[in-house]
Amino acid sequence: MVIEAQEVNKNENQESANISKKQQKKLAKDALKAARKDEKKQTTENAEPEEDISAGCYGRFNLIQSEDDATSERRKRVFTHVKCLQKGIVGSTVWVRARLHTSRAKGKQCFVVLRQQEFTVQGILAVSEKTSKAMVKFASNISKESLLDICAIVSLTPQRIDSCSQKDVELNIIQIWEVSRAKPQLPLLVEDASRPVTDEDEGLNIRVNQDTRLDNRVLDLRTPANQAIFRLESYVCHLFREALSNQGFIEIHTPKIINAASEGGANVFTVSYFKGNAYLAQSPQLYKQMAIAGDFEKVFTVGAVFRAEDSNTHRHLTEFVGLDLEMAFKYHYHEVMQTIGNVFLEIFKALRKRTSELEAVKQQYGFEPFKFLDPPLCLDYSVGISMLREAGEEVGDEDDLSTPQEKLLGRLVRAKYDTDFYILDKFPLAIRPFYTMPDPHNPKYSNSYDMFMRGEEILSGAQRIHDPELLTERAKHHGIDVEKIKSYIESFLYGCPPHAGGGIGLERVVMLYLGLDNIRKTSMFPRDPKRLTP
Amino acid sequence: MYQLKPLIDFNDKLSTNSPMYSMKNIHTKNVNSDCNEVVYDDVILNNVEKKQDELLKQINEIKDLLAILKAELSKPKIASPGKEKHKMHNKNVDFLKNGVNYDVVLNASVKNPPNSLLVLNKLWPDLVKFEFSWHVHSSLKGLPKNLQKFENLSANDSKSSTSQLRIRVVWKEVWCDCELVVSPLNCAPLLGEVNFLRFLNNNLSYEEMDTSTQTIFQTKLDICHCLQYCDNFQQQQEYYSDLIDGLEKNKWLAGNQLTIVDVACWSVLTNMKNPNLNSSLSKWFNNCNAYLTKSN
Repeated sequence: MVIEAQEVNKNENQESANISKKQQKKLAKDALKAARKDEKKQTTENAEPEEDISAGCYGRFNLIQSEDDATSERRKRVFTHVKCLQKGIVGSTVWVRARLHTSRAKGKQCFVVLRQQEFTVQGILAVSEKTSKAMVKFASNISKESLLDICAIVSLTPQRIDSCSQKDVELNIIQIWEVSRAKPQLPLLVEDASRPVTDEDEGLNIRVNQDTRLDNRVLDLRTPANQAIFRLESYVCHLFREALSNQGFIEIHTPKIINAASEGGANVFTVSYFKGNAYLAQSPQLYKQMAIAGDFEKVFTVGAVFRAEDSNTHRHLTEFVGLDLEMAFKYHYHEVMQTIGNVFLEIFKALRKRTSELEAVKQQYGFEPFKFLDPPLCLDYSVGISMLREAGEEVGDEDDLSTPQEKLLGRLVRAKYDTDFYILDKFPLAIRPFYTMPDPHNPKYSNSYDMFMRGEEILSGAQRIHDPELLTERAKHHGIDVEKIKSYIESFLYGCPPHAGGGIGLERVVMLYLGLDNIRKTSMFPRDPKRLTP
Repeated sequence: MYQLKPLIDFNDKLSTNSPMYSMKNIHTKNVNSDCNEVVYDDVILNNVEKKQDELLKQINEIKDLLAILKAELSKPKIASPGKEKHKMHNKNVDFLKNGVNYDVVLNASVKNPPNSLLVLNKLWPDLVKFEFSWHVHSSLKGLPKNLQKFENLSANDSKSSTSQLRIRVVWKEVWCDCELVVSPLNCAPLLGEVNFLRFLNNNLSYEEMDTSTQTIFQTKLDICHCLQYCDNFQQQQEYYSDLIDGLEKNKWLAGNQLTIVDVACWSVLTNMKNPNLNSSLSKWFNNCNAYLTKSN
């Protein structure tokens, strides 16, 4: 073939005799290159069928378009979850679909770490009589985060592998197929994103910035901690539904597009609605109450809530999931307060059993167990104020608590009662919304309560005024235009049971239970004044 | 009376010839002075008077303030034993003044429950009322059944709104038998049931004790505490003999009255699996048990 190439060269030379010498040389070079390439290709093509004993054991799947019919071998494959790879099934051959977490080629061997959700396992591929060099090379060239189908034999490891979640077993890879390829250049490495948050400077301590994480949320969500956080979040929502359904609550759905601001007018999003304007609901408050007036007695709702507050803090989002409930009671609003308190207790008790998820969060962010008392601690607002005064804080009897004061009170309560969850009862009337029922014994106070987790307010609720006349009077006292809330007041005209309720922010509850520092960590795709994507 | 006309008319002023320089009479203002001057003098005097009044007022105010300050500064002295006793007699035990804010927290261990809680209301029956509320801390998975008797306590007392001390009992993993948190800001937690009783006793008891009885009293309390952690038979019997010292003459461990020593000892013995009581102590124990567990 070399001779052939030279002949071609010569022919060319003759043909292009009238072109300049420089160009001639260049052309010659190019031709030579092309020829060599050609030659190489031919050799490999020729060599493959003879040399690669592993052919058919590795490669890249075509785009899976569901083309396999029911009888095909591929559809009969049984896949094993990485978390099930344990000592008990050593020696068996398994199929695994997992991502390539890391890979490391070392001479004739290739070590890979495979990840499925938050579970990782080590795999080994070594050149042997069954495995060709080309297969090992293929494996070591797969880009990180690619999705793979792997057939392998489960075997015991000589030493415990501390870097993987499956520490006692590894996979001896027989087949390796690429299902979906990741771009070789990743905006962030899952390994970096899941590195524990520590203050130590020793060793490699690359961290991923919060904004980078949120910009590439898809990759960020693959970290074990995030897998755990969102599974817990789903669980909290499930527990909330379950606990309330067991007590005879029904779930309702309230409109999110409304004609008037439900609580005050400042922090509301305006959307264009055909020829006019409409607003996004700040809370399902009014509709919950109307459902009570409509004789549903106990209702709850889970849905998006919008707040147009331009505050870029660690605990504010412009859209979040609200868990709201409203309940009719017989004679005292403490019936409702205790119900809500018990719902929280049930959630906390169930959450502390989810050890594997809590462990994953602890690994990355550190987690201090959430402490609570059963029955929950309930203090009067005035007691809280006197505790703050004892600590040297200057607070008026009817002042609202500032955020630092709230946190200080949380610390004081924790020091004395050793609980992260408590209820503060009987808030001053002046700092609550107009529909809050005043206290019967002291006109300065009201039948309202807040609940706190780790010193931050998570729920604010009260007995609502169900008497239209008192409601009108209170609205006027607060300087609210009675005409605008006419439909609200009217809903109590035809008799309404006494009722109370409250609302929780799902993201905030999860954040505070886990002791995380930012609400964006518990919202999958957070919305804040500066972020609308992804 | 019939009025007489004056004999001599003194219409004109008498002028005495004197070599002396005549001074203006300061007492009668209008003598030899024109109208303007009089007004001027009056204004000055009025001003002076006003100023004086103001000063007097201010002095009075300062006096009042000082009186208040004095009263406030001398308050700690009121809390001295003698006056405290006086207060107790008036049945006005104010724990809030003694550094307790709203309530106290008693972290109790499930293994060695503080039985004294059951009988607290019997110790100072007409002096103080206790109110209990019960919580289970999240460090415990559940509450053993034998502690239900404590819960009944709150049910009985929930009506009394006149209680002077709210005790919030939290069942918890505590490394000693119990732990009293009065105020995390002002003092460290008090460990042990005996110290909890001491805390109450110091606030409530008005019995004067001389130094020697006081020492015996405190020693016996210490023994009760040690008894709890004693696993040696020999040692246990030694403690017992110290405890019953003086029991022949008296009905109770420290005199003729039920005291916290009895309650502390009773509580410890109740929690023990095999107390190995001797005769006199077991007589006392039965006695005590009968007295403390009988309903009012």
